[in-house]
Amino acid sequence: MARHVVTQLAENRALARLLGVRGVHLKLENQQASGSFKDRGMLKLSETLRLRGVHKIVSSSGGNAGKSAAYCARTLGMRAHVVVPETTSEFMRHIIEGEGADVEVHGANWNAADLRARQIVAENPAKCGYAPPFDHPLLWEGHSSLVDELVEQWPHQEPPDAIAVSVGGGGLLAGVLGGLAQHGWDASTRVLAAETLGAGSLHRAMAQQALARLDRISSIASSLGALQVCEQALIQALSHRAGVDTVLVSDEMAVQGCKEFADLARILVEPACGTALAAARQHLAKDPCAEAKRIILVVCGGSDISLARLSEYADQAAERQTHGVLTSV
Amino acid sequence: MPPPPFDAALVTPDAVVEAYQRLRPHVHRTRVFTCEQLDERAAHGAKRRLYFKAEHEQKIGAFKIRGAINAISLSSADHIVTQSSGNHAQAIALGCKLLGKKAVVVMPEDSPGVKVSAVRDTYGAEVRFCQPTQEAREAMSAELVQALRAQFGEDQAEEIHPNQDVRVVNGQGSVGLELLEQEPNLDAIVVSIGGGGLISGVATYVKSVNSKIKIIGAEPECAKSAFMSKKAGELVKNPPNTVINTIADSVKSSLGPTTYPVVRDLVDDVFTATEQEIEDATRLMMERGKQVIEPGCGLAVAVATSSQLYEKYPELRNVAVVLCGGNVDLDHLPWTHRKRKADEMGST
Repeated sequence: MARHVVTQLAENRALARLLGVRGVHLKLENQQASGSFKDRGMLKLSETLRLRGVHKIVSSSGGNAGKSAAYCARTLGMRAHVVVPETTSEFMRHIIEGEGADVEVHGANWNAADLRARQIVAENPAKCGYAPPFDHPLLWEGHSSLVDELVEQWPHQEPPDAIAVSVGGGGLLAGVLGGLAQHGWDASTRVLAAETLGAGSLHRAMAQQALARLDRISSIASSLGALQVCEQALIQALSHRAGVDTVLVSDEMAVQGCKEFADLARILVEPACGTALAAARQHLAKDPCAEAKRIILVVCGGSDISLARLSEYADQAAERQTHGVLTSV
Repeated sequence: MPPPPFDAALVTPDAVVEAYQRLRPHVHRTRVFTCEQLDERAAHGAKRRLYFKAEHEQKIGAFKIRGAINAISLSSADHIVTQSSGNHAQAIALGCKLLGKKAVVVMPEDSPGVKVSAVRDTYGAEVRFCQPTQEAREAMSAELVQALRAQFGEDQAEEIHPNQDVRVVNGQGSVGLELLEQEPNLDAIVVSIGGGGLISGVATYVKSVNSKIKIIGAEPECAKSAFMSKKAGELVKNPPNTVINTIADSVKSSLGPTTYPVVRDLVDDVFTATEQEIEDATRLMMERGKQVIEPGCGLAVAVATSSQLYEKYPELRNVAVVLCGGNVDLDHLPWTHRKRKADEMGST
C-alpha cells in the first residue's frame, strides 16, 4: 500500500511579523513526493483504480496533476499516459516524463487534450483509468487527509482562526473544507480562498451564487488556470459555517509571495502557491484583529518553477510597476 | 593490487568464459524448455517460440549461485559479507559452504520467510536484519566488513555486492553461455532487470558471439531504473529511501556503476510491466507451464508475451526467456492479499 507523505506543519515567525499576526504555520505540501498536495488525492484515486484491475492511469494535465499521476502510477506498479496540449512547456513535459509517464502532445488547448485522454480510456475501459485533475470525490477525500494531519499537528488549544488555500479547480479547497467539517473546525476556522485576478473562477461563482465559467485565463499562475471551479468547491464554500472569503491578487503580488516564501521560509514555489501568502497578506491588512490571530498557510507546492524563472517574473513585475501597466483582469 | 570490484570495463566475454570454468563443477547446467500455451500468448500476429532457461531449477533456486561462486573463489577473504533481498544471500551462503568460507548476510526485515530460513537454517550463514531500503542495507554491510577486518585482518573480510561486483556479473554471464550452447538460433533473449547483474553478464557474452541477438530487459513499472536510465541517457536510480511496493520483490534494486554502462551500450531495449501483468504472467507459468517461479521471473514472461514487445520488434521468432528464480513462499503468494482487499472494496 502506498501512502502520501505526512508533511510538516512548521511555524514561521518571520512570516507572522510580515503579516502582522500572532502566528503563522505553514503546511508544507511541497514535501510531497511529486512536489505538490496532488499526491494525496491522486494516490487514493489510483489505488482504487488499481484494485479494479486498471493497468494505466490516463491524465490530461500538463501540470502538477499530470506529474502526480505519473508518480502515483509508478509507485503502484501501473503505467501512466499523460496527454498534454501543445501549449504545455518543454519544461513541464520533461518533468512529467522524468516522473516515468509516457507523454503525448495533442491539441491546441486543454479541452482537446482532455478529449483525447478520455478517448484513450474509452477504447480500453477495463485496463485504463481516467484521472481528472480536480473534479472527483476520491480526489477530495484524499486531499482531506491534509486536515487529518493538521488537527493532530496543531499545537494550540483553540483551532486556527483562518486557513489560506490557493484555488485553481477547487479540488484542494473541497478537500480542506470537507476535512474541516469532519473534524469540527468548520465553525471556528475561516477559510481564505486565494486566486489570482486572471483566474478567479471561484470568486465569480460565489459572487453569482452559481457556477460561472471564465472566458479565458490570463495569469502566470498556470496551476490555477481552470476556467470553471468544480461544483463541490462552490457548494462547500457557500456552506462553510465560519465563512469562506475569496481573495483576488495580482500576478505581481503572487510573485511577491513567492519571493517572501523564498526569503523568509527558504522554499521555492510556483506563483500559484505564492498566491496563498499574497492573499493572506492582502486580506489581513484590512483586519483590525489580525494581531491576535493564528493562521495556517497551505503551501500547496508545485514543480512549474525554477530560480531563473522566479527572477524573471520578479524583474517583469518590477518593470511593470515602473511603467505603470496594470494586470489584465 | 587487485582491481576494484566495480568497473564495467572488467566485464568481458573472456572473463565470462573463465568464470564458467570456475563455477561449472558447482552448478547445474539447467535445461531449456518450451511450452506451446506460452507460445500462443506470445503470438501477436506471428508464430513464435519461447525458450525458457530454467534457472529456477538451479542450486538455491536461482541463477545467483553462479556469480556468487565465481566471486567467492576469486576472493582472498575468509569472511564474506553481503546485503540482499534473498537470492544472492542464499547464493553466498551456499557458495561459502561449498568453498569452506564463512558468510554473514544482511537482509531486509520484510524478506520472505522461506528465504530467511534457507540462508540461516539450510546453508548455515549468519543473518543480520535491517530496514527495507537499499540505503539501510548498504550501510549495515559496510559496518560489518569494517568490524570483521579489524578482527581478522584487512584481506580476510570482504563484501560481495549482489549485482555491481565484476566477479559476480561475469559469473551470471554463464547463463548466456549455456543458453547459446543449448539453443544457438535465437533472435532475442528476455531478462529481468533488478540491479542489472544478470543482463549485463549475458549481454556481454552473447553480443560478442552474435551481436544480432537482441537483448531485452524487463522491469516492473514501480522500479524501472534501467528503463528511465536509457530514456534519460544517464544513470537514473529508483527513488531513494522509499519502500518500493512490487510483487517482484527480487528486482527492486537499481542499476549501478558497473551495470549501467553495459545496459546502456549492450542492451537493445527495456520494457516495463504493470503489477497486474507480472501477476498474470507468473500465474500463467505456474498454472500452464507447471513451473514454480517467483514474480521477479514472471516479469520476464510478461514482457516476452506482451504486445508492446512484438509491436516494436515484429520480426522476432525465437525468443529465449531466462526464468531467473523460483523462491516463493507458498503460504504468502503475493496476489492473495490484493484479491482480498479488492473483494472488500466491492465494485463501485
